[in-house]
Amino acid sequence: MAKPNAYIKGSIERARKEIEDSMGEDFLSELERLFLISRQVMSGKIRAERKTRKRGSGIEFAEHREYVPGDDFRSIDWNLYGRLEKLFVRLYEEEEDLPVYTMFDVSNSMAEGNPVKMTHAFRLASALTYVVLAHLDRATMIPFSGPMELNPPGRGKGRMFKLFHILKQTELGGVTDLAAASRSFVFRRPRRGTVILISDFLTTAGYEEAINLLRYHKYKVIVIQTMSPQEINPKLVGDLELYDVETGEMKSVTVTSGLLKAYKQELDSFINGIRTFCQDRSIPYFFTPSDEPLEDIMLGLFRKGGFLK
Amino acid sequence: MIFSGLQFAALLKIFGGFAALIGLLYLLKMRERLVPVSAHFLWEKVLKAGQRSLIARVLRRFFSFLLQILILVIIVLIMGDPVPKKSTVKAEKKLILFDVSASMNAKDIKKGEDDFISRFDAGKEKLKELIKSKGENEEFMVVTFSRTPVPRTPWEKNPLKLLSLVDKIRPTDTPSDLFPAMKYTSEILHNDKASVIIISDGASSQSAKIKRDVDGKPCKIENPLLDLSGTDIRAINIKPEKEYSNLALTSLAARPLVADPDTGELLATVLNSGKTPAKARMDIYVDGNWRESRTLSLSAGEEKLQLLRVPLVGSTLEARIKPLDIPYEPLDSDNRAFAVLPRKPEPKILFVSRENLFIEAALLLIPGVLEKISPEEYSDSSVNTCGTSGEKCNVVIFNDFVPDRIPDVKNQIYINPSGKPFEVDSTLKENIMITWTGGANPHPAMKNVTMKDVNLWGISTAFKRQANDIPLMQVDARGTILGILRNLSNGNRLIGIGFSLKDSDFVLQLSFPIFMLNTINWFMGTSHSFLTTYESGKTIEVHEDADLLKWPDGRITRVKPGRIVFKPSSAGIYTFSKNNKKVREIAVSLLNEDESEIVAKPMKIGCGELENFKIEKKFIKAVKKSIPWKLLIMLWIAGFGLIVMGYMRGAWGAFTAFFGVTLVSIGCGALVRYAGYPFWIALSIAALTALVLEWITYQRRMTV
Repeated sequence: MAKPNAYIKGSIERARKEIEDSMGEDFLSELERLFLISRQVMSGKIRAERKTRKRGSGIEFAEHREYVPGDDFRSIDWNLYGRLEKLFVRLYEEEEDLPVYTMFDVSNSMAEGNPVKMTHAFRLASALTYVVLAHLDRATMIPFSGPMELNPPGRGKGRMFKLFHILKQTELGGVTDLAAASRSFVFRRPRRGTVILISDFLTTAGYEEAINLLRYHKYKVIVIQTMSPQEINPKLVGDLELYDVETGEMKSVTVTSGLLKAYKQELDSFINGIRTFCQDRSIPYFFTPSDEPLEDIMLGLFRKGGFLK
Repeated sequence: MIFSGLQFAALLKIFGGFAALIGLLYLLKMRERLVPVSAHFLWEKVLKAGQRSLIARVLRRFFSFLLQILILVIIVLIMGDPVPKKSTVKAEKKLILFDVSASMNAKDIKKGEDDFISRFDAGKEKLKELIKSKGENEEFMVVTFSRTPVPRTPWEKNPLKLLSLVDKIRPTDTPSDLFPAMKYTSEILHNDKASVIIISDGASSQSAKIKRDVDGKPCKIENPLLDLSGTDIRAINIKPEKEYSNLALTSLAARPLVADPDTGELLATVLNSGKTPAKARMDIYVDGNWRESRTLSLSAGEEKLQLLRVPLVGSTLEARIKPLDIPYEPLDSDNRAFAVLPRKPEPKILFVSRENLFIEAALLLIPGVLEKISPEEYSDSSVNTCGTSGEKCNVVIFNDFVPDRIPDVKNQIYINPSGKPFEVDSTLKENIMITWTGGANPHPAMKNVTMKDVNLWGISTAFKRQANDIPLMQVDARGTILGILRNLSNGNRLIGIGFSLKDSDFVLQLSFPIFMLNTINWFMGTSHSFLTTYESGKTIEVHEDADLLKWPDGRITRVKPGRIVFKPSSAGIYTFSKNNKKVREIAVSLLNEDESEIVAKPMKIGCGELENFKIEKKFIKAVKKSIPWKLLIMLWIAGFGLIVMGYMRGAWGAFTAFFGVTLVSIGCGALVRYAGYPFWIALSIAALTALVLEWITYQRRMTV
């Protein structure tokens, strides 16, 4: 193996190349196909029909409220005044589109695996963003590892090209800091909406603070965890020097079948920890290996996730 | 305790070399592979729970290294073959002379009711029994003999190796001669005390002149050819229970007729070595096709000469004798004899002359292409197409004419040339007589040609002799050459006759057509002498531009072009070839009366009959005695290795160790049993293989 630093640089470059190669016509055609599939799955639930808690000028009646000076006379319910001799105004539910923020991890650890996790995360984020944009909602993609810049959400399929362009300018790599990423997101006070968080969540700093912060700021959170097949089922054996691609730590180890078994147990426990954390907070959680076809994971998301309602 | 195998210094060198190799492999093994991971903290957690400490891991590998060194020490010790000091007595030597001559092919040793085995097979069984009965302190050497002795084994203690080498011995079609074998024995033994055991069906006559001990004292022999006093010589005589008649071809010769090379005279001698009269049929085959047969009756012990005239169109001739009224004949190899026929000449002659019917008449006797043209018609290109064949002429005859330029033709005859191509020494105008035509050893062109009755009345030209010239006709033995042969550097041969045929009566003599026939036949390489066959077992030297030699049994030997020397052991046709094209054949036949006299004789050397050697059957006991402790060590190493590897490497390691040890054991056994390797060589090869396998499987992360 090359020296650690050179190796990380190489793997980040490899991931970038793969991502840029994915931005071609073929991928857009694939996204369009996914959009059509999403229409079939979510038949009748088009157009931004999300009901907000805001009351406003919609057409669907919500409730009555006592008249206060300054209210629009046109909204006074005169029939009710006839019966109760008190002035009430009719309130309607305001309909508006809620933005979808797809945050995907581009840290050093995501540049690992075969297929590369980062590429898988990018393709997944792109697919979700595209489908949302195609449903005439606002959406954006936000690559992150630690604190990040916010790409404002846009509308329409054409927005994808802008997002791709921004992504090309983004620096990839770094150490995963989910909490810092969440803080920098909410700090910019983007409109409330859905935050899709795609990462391997392999960080010693933990993921709980990041997710709780988003929930606290009233964002609907969806968690997608991705891992490479080599991480899920490592084929390592023998005397090895393990090198952490994020922290640079080294560890000498003799991998035996027993040790591998223990690793798998530990990994299962880690994944189950995130899953349980999400379930306890009614957060949709999905796990996807990086070699899972995009269509499969998207169908699963459409069918089970329900986050596009 | 001393080392009876390799010496201590050699063992130390071997240990040092292999220990360095193992050390190097160990150091290479210490290098760890760098693997990038994302979930390092997960590994940390796992390692905290289950991984051994660094010291334990290093110790574990170092223990593996120590184990390998220990295995090496044990193997090196086995190579040294340590034995208690008192058991190192000098080995007792036994030299076994095994007869592989043609008579040993006689199938007259009864085995079962109606089944016969050959004397050779019976002798080989005895030889094997003898080896199996070998004592631990005995050293054997096996030498086969027929016409010449051939050592088949070195001095060897290992009976298994001896047996494997003995298995490779094959019988021959060559006559037997014990004397060279005994001489060889005396050279090998030199001053060593050893026993000699001869396994044979009889002794040759020359062995009577060998001096040896009888009843512990040297016997009296006048002018002995060999002195083997002090050597214990005994015999294992291979004798059939019943004597059978045997018919044999004891000589074969054939020659093509001078005037008709397609027909030949064949001379063959047939022997009946039995004690009863026998009828037989002799068949003649040319190129494997039957050509002629003759039935003959032979009285007991009679040898009969047969003369036959047979067509000889082909390349090889075979004579076979078949008994007609003998119920069983044990020896086949003397029933066949072979000869190679001469190549058929294909002269393509251009005759440049004015009308000369005498010469033309003589040339008409020669089969081949003849084209006649006059000197006026001759040009340089005339030699390129000969008659209707369209091929280049290989003989050109110029009569009373010399072309301006000497043509490039292999064979040329100039009759009465004027000045060229032969320089004139003198001109003779008087009547002269040619008295010398080669003397006692005439050139093949002059064989049976006499010039004494030839009258010359014209002007004759005497040629000047050059370095490589051969005179064919001279006025007297001292000089004045009138007939000459010149070998040019390009291989062309020129014959010059220094008188005109018109001014002599040479063409009217019988000598003239014989001279022309001889000359053309010599040009074409045709021989009219008897075609003999080579005797088997005798050294043959040929000069051929060949790269392969095919033996009668189909074996192929690569040879170097040029001088080829070989010793044919089987009767039949030997074919030399170059680039898969046959260039020459050689016929080899047994044709030996002594070998065909298959009546088994008592083994006599020197003063009397040899004492019989009795074989003690103790094989199983002996082998069991010689090996077990080494086998036990091997099993101990294997078992110990299995346990340690199993402990260190988990289930896969144990499985690989078990599989490896099983393979190593089988391989080791096979090396000892079939390849005849000494046990320690087999074991060290096996152990080294195991170590290499261990290293490779470790590096490939198969046994970690």
